[in-house]
Order: sequence, then C-alpha cells, then structure tokens
Amino acid sequence: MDELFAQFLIEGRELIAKATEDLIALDEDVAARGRVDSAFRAVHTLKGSVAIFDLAPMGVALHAAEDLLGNVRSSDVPIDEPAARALLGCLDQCDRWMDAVEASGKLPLEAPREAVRIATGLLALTGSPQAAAAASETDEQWVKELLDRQSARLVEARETAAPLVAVRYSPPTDGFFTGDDPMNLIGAVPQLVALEVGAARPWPPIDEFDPYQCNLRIELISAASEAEVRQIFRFIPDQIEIISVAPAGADGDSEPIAGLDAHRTIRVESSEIDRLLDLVGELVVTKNGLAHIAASAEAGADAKAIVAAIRATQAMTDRVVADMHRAVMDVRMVPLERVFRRLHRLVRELAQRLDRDLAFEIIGEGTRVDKAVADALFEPLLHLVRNAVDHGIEPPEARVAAGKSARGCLELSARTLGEQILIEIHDDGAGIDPARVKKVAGKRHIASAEQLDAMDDRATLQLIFAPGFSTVTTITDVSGRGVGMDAVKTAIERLGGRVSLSSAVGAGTNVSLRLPATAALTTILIVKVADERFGIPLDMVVETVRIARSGILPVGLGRAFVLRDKTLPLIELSALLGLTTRKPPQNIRILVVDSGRGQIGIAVDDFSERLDVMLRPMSGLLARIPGVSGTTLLGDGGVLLILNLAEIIG
Amino acid sequence: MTVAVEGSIIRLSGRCPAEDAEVLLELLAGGAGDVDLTDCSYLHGAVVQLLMAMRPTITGDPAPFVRDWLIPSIREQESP
Repeated sequence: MDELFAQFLIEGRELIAKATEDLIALDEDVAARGRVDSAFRAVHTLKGSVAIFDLAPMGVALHAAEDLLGNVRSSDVPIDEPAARALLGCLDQCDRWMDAVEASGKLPLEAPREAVRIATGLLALTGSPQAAAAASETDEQWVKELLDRQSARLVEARETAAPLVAVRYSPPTDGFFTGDDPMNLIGAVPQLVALEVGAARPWPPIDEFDPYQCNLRIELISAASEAEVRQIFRFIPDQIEIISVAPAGADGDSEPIAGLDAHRTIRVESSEIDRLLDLVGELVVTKNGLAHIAASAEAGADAKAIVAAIRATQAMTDRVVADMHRAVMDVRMVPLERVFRRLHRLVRELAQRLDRDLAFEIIGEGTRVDKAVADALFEPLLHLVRNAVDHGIEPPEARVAAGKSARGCLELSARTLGEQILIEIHDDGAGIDPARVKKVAGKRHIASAEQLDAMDDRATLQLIFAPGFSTVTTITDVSGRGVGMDAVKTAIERLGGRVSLSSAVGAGTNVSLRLPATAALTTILIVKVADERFGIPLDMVVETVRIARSGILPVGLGRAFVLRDKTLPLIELSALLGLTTRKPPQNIRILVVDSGRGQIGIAVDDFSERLDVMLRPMSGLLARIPGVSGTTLLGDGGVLLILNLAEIIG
Repeated sequence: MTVAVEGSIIRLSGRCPAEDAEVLLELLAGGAGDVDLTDCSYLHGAVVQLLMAMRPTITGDPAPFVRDWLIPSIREQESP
C-alpha cells in the first residue's frame, strides 16, 4: 500500500474518532464550546486529507459537515440534537467508508448517493440555500430499489462493467390526450436491460376506469450511454429522471464487518525509537568489548582474566538484551482506544436498529495492551457488546414498565491490574435468569439433570460459555451468527485470559475479561503422538511430509529417509519423549525441522491444526522440565505443552 | 380493425392504438375472457394500462417488444 495512503487511513480514523468524541461530549454538555472548535478542526483537516485521494463523495459529505459545524461555531446558539445526530451519522458513514477503502481500495458503489443524502441532510440543518438544490437529488432511493429488484437481470450487464442508466418516467394523467405514447418511447430505448411498468396510483374499480386517463409509472434500466437515453426522452424532461449508475463493484453486502484481517500498522512515538537506538548503541559497545577480549586472549593473557572479562561482557549483554526486549514490547503496546472507539459506532447503530435507548460509556480507553491482544480483542468485545444491547438492555417501554429509566446504560471499562488488564462490560438490562439457563442446558444436553440440580446460580450462569449453548431461540441478524459465548471464551483464553460472568435478574449483567497485558502470539502446529497432543512452534518447522513406510531406510543404528535427493535422519517423537507408540502406520507423517545443524525428520502420528497462541512460560517447579518451552490453553479447556524441539533433539 | 372477438376470446392484432382501450374496456367489462395477442405487433400505453388493471388471461406469442417486455410487466401486476 502506498505509504501516504496508509498514513491517511490511520490519521483519518483518528480524526473521525476525535470529532465523534467531541460531538458525544457536546451531547452531554451542550455548553462545551471548545468541543465545537475541536470537532470543526478535525473535520476540516480530514476534508483536506480526503481531497488528496480519489474519494470525492466523502469530501462532499465532510464539506457539508464542516459548513454545519462552522455555522454552529459562529452562532451563539448551542448545537441542537438533530444537528449533532446528523453530524455523528456523517462521521459514522465516513468511518465505514474508511473500512471499505482499506479493504478494497475504493469507496462502495452507493457512496455517491449516500454522500448526497448526508450532505443534503446537513445542509438543510445549516439553512443554506443549497439545501433545496441538493434535496432534488435525494429521491434516488428508487434507483437503489430498482437495482435491487432487478439484480438478477443485471448480473450479465454488470459483468461487462458497463455503466447503466436508470430511468423513471412518470407520464402526466392527461398524457394520452396530448398524443404521447409512453410505450412508443420505451420501445425506442436502446439496450433495454430491465423494464417495470406499474400503476402510479392504485387501479380504480372497473366501473370507474377511464381508459384515457394515464395512470402509469415506468422504470427501466438501459445499458446504453446516458446521452443516448436522454436523446429519446428529450421532449419530456419534466416527466423523466435519468440517473447514471456506476459500473459494478462489490455491492453492499460484501462489506467486511470491520476489516478485521486487514493490514494493520502501528504508530510509534519517536522517543521510543530513540530509546531503541540508544540500546543498539550499547549493544555495539559490548560487541566491541568482545573484540578486545579476543585480542587479549590471542596475546596470551591469563585465562582467569579472560574469563572474568567474558563474564562481565555477558552480564552487560544480558542487561542490554533485556532492556531491548522491554523497549520492543513497549512499542507493541497500544492503547485500547482504537478498539473501543470502533465499538462506539457499532453500538450506536445497533441501538438504533433495535430501538434501544442507551448511553454507552467507555472508561479507561487509555489502558495499554500488546498490539496482538488489542487486535484480537475486537471480535470478542463486539460479540459481548452486541449481546448486551440485543439481549441485555430492554426496549424503553419494557424498562419503564420494570420501573427503570427508559435509557439503558452500557459500560465498557478497562484498567490495569499489575501485569494483567481487566476489561468489564456491564449493562443494566434484564439480566440472565438462571432457571432459564438450566432449562436450556438440560434441553441441549450440556449437563445432566443431577449436575444441574447441584449447581448454584453462579455456577449455572457459567454454562452460558459451554459450546452449543445459546439462550436465544430465534436467530437475529445481530447476535445470532452461530457463534456463542463459547467463541468469546475460546478467543479470550487463546490470549491467555479468563472470562467470568455475573448477572442479576432485572438488574443487569457483568462480564469481566482478565488478560495478560503483555504477550506475544506464537503460531504453533499441533501434532499427535501416542494419543497425546503437543504444540510445536511453527517457526521451527520447515515443512511437513508423508512418506510410505517402505521409504524409511535403516542407517547404522538409526533410520533415515530421502527427501528431494537429500538423505535426512529420522527420529520418532515418541522415542524422544519416552512414550510408547503403536504399530507404525502405512504412511509416516514427518515434520522436517531445522535444528540449527541441518534438517532432520521427526516422525509423529498425525498433524492437527495450526493455532496462534499465547505462550505461557513454565513457572515454579515445572520451569526446570527440559524440552518444554511453555503451555497454552486450548479452546476445549485442555492444556497443551509446547515443545522446545531444539532442546529435545540437542 | 385491430380488435376482434371470437367466442369468448378477444384478438388484438397489428399496432393497437389508444382507441382500442375503450373498446377493450367494454368487452372486458361485458365479461369477455382471454386476450390473444398472437398477431399483435404493438400496444399503446392506454391498452397496456387497461390490461394491467383488468388482468385478463393473455395468450399468444406476439412481436418481440410486446412479448419480452410488455406482457411480463402486465403479468407482474398484483391482483387488485
């Protein structure tokens, strides 16, 4: 990706987030004039950046937002709610466009129309004379609907990537008297792709039907050029709307949920780079020290003196390496802000769609976590927040009926607890009914009746995390995507964290996530040996191969096999680990690993999946176990040992 | 004459002008049944509109524009 563009994606999102934050603050305190200035500046800067790239529709929307903010800024009247809402809507749309631009490199097909709609809305609030002009362009909803209805017919036309022209033709009631014949005109339209003829008003009953009164509305799509189509209807411009439709691209439904897997960059304070540079300087000094020691050894210095010098250099290197590690980890630490801010928009949209009135409060967004953790947190958090809005917070009427305020409260907080961070999602909604959880758990055979009877409420609630559990009976498009709380639990545990949940019926639900703040993800390959599973860091593995048993050759005391004209030694992992293995299968599965002294093959019983895991080093007594570099928790709750192959082979 | 009646079938042929709508309305209101468009090469908007409103059964395999565009539109009208 172009560097400038990458920078724009980062800064653009920040500016949108800044302006959004200002507007939300204004929503709470309309008198905060400084916030208006700040939002204005952010929008102004963003508009400037947008102009550099081919994102004209976004520029149009932002221009209108800037005008409105400018008006608010210069008047004494504080910003009113419709204006704040419209501005937030504009920023949300810009944020979505940023996602689309990041994912596909361009704005979605409907962006120009959407931009005009937004700009019109904003200009109307500005009270600008342009508003009326822009308003005439807003009725284009019909184009979208027409395209939707006719999408099947359009597939072919779209493949050729030719632009299409949509026409809406509303002949006047007395049209037949004046000699017009709509069908004649339609018949003349070149390259007609779709045609819809319908009634402008409902058909009257047969005895009132006047055959000479025109009651037709015609919509059509042509693959010809706009000029050709206009030519046909040139005598009746007042009855006709002609809209050019840009050639196909991805349509709305392919929009990625939030560009989760998209390339992510990290911003680093220049002072942190300076610190790393200083450490490199120190490393150079220690390296030079080694040259000095080597020289004195050559000169025949006393062995004891040399050993002392080496030890001193080693100690210094240790310290520098440790500092460096810490500095790099610090660079990887990012505030949770970005993750949280994206949730802000989604919660707002969700609340609107589900008709919930809620205040979404975020606390501690400055809490820093490892970038890998921050990136991996988005999805589980999104799921939890969705659950809270969809199933937790009740609709306003239900809340009032239950004696609560109509406006629900959803709180997302983060804070550091030593080496861990604690993230809590709290809602004051309906809560979870343990009796219902038990019923569902029983029905879905998650636990036996006796087990369920023995459970207290708190233990019962934890059943929600069991695979296959979902209390929603109807699948909504919001939360019901086939992933339940078990997916959240797995995701958090994969990060080395824990999830817990508490809830009180009628009072709300609280979910807490505890995560290690610093951590790096390691990709491992799971292998099976003698009915056990082990993880092997993938960076050790050169490749995996399957070889027929007959291809294994005895060589001296050991065995070997030929891989692409090279003979590699073969070792059984079960033998290395002292496990008894069954009879070898017909095809032997081999991991080719680079031990640092050439490649060797390690036979295993089977390969399993790859995983990104948070490696937890062994501690206490276990720390001395040779050949194991750490453990990780699997999605099913099992503990997986990660082998240190270099040590085992050594 | 572009409108002809044979038993319960109304036959439209050639280029049907706006005036045909009035004739057709009378016939359909009088209880005539199917409309055969086999020899029809063109329908005026007024006739199309009437067929849409009355929804008689349409038969025949007329000229391409009528067959491919107008008849499907007429058939797509929802029953009143």
